Amino acid sequence: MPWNRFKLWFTSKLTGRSKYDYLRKFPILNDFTNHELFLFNQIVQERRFKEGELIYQEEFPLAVIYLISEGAIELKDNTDDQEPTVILDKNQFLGIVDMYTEIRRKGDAIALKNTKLLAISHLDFDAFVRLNPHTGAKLLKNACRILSRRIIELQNIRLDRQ
Amino acid sequence: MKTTRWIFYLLFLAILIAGFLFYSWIFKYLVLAVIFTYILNPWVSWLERHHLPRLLGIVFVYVGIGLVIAWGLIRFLPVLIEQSQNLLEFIKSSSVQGEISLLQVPLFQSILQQVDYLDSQVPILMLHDRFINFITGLNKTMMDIPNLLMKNYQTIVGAVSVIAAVPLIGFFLLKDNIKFRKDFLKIIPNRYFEIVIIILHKIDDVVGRYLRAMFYEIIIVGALSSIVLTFLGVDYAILIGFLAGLANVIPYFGPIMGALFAVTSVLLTGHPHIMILYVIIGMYLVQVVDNNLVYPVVVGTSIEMHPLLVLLTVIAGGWVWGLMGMLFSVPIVYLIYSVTRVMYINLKEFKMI
Repeated sequence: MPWNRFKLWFTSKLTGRSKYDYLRKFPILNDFTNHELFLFNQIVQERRFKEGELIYQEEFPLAVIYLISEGAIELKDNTDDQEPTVILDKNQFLGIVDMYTEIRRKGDAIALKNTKLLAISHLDFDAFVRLNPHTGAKLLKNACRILSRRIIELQNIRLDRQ
Repeated sequence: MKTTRWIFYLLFLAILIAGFLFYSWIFKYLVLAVIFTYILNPWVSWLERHHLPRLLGIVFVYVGIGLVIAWGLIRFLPVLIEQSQNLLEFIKSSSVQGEISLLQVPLFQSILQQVDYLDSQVPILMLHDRFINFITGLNKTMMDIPNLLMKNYQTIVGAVSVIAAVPLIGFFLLKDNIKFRKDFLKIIPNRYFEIVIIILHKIDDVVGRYLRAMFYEIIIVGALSSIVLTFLGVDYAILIGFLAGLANVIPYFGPIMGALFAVTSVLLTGHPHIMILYVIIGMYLVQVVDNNLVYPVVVGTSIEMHPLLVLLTVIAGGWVWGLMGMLFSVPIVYLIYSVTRVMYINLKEFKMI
């Protein structure tokens, strides 16, 4: 075991890659250093959901942020029939923005196929940002960048329809 | 299928009970090691955030604490031993002339004078004999202190083994606490995952914050009291300062107990009575610093326990576990109360109760 760890450490030093590289595939984390990924991995919890399984329920407290590692999620807003269901795919995230504006979930989230999620408690996320202000700023900046891109995309779609 | 599942549950329960029975004797060690881990974890994590591998961070913190303890022993142990020896000498010298020798103490002499005066005014009271009986009992108790230490050598040896075992268990808890947390969360079904992760974090936060606050308060109040009492020229200043720091863990009444230790020392050692006033002012200043500087920084929020509940808990703790019960019953009750509160609020939020 110590030999394996040493090998991993040595290889990572030689290649500049770490065993937490899998986190870089998420656009929100793609400019993180190896050390930042190592720290972030400490608050990440891997969860697997079967097709059709409920991930969270409407009106539940907004407790956890999810990064979609594999599969897809359907978000249903039960309060508004006009609102189309949103589908989130691999490498997208949910819950980061809501965390600062909402206290409870606005709808249900269901796994569309067998799905692997990386779950982060919003309290851990807050603590991570507070304790690592530099990395935290980077993380929130990335989230803003991705979201503003998404907003522009949606505006363009709306304009095209008009 | 159903029978198989029941057999599995029964076997699992049997293994749990067997495991609990097997490990029950080390439960005390484990609790102490968890407290130890809570206190040191922020330092280790801070070092880890600053690019020092966790293992090295733990070694670094252990070495640092070892050095501080060594320095403390070299610097203060001789003083503590001297003060303890003086205390023993005082007890011995008080018992040279027989059982009523505590009457040499100025405080008791003045009380006896008052008692004799009362007896001369109202002879029917016969307070003199009663007071002498009380002093005899007190003298016997004081003389028994060294014997108690000899009789309880097993407890003392046990304490030494705890001192050796706790850092060792704490080392592994510090090293792998993130792994333990992840492994525990892995076995939680998806349905309960969100509530468990939140409750776990909140309990961790409440317990950790409280234990660390208690630790820093004991040290800071102990050190401040020792400095103030030394400055005022009170005998056994470091010993009393340390006791005042320990007593400070009891909200509302702890600070009064700390001041009482100091006042008792002044009374027993025959200092001028004006010194009592100085000691009270000194200990009050320590409390002002503690309440306005130390407490807001290390604890942050106040402990929400009614003074009556604190008083009843201290009395109940003293009744069940003696002096240690008096000291630690309030923190234990407060922690149990906080954990229950966190669980109740969150179970309600997730509509599980």
